[in-house]
Amino acid sequence: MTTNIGTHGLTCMDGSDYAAISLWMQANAQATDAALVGIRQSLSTFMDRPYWQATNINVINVDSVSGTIGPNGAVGETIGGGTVVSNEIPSSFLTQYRLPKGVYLLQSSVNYTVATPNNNTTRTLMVYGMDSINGLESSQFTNRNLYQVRTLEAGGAGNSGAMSVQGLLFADGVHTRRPESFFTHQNTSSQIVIAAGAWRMSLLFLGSGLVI
Amino acid sequence: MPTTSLGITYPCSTDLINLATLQSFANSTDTAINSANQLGNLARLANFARVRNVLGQTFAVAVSTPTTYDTEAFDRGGFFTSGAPTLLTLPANGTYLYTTHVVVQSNPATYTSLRLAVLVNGVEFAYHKEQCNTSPNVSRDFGLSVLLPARVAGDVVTLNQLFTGAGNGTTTMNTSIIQVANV
Repeated sequence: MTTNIGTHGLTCMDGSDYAAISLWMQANAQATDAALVGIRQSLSTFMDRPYWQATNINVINVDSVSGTIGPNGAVGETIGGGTVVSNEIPSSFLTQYRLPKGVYLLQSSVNYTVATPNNNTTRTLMVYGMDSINGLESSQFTNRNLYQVRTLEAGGAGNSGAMSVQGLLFADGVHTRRPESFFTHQNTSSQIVIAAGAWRMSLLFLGSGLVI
Repeated sequence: MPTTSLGITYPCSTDLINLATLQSFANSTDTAINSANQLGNLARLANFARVRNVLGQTFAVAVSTPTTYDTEAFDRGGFFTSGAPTLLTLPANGTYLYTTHVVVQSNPATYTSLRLAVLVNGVEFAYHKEQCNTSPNVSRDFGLSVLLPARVAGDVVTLNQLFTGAGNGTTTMNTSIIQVANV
């Protein structure tokens, strides 16, 4: 861009360099702009984290002998379908959806009543990720990142209970992985009743992280 | 002079390049960077509060009672006011992550349970209940965390505690809430 002048190593720009300076400034302006746009997009994603929360809309009865098979062969129930509030994740109930790669906070909370439970019987609330393989799910073998909490009933007359559990769910972006909340009731002589709106499951994107 | 999408000005080949042109380039670049920085500060400095009850609150048995906070450890956004010590008021539209930790300081020795309920605008939203006997001695530290999605500014969040069993119970507690999304 410069021309040598004199004999002392001095340089100066000539007239043709003005256009080059314009181009240089334009290139830098556009490069700066592109970098900042990328930063703003990352910040916007950070400020508006994807989330998803489902709430049961039907009364759910849980007993120890019928229902679906969950982790470790347990018999129980899932929320099934429900009302969904979400951001950047489909607003429908997740079934065959591949979660974007990342680390998620997975939570569930349930309120229930139980009629005449036997003393020292337990109820368990679980959250985990469920993988689909070739479009099919097998809960015994494909649940991932299982977290659970268990309560012990004092027994006797009808009672009410409430449980909550949370953990981190890792999505590798390869498997079709969806969140699941599962409730079991280990008492053959009583039944759990979960009212509509009393069982929630939440998913909050925390970051892309290093996912194994 | 043309500008980029973020307003950075630069000369085209027919513009005269002088001091004003260079200053405009520098100033507009600085403005664009400041804009990104402000967004970054908003992301980093999210609305967040931590409130506590350190003195201990006694709850009458079989009465679901709002927790009263006596200490504001931190409050960016103005969730808490001492004039309404049971409420956390959401300062902006968005989604919040709420977490509370309750320690049972004293309770009856017989079979006793403590039920926690997070309420939004007076309606129960999440729950947790455990036995907290002193005899037999079981867990006396309770935790509950819940996502509060798509709330609006002015919504109020309370934590109710309910002892069931033979008598009153006293707890201390530590509650945090942070905004995690603007929607």
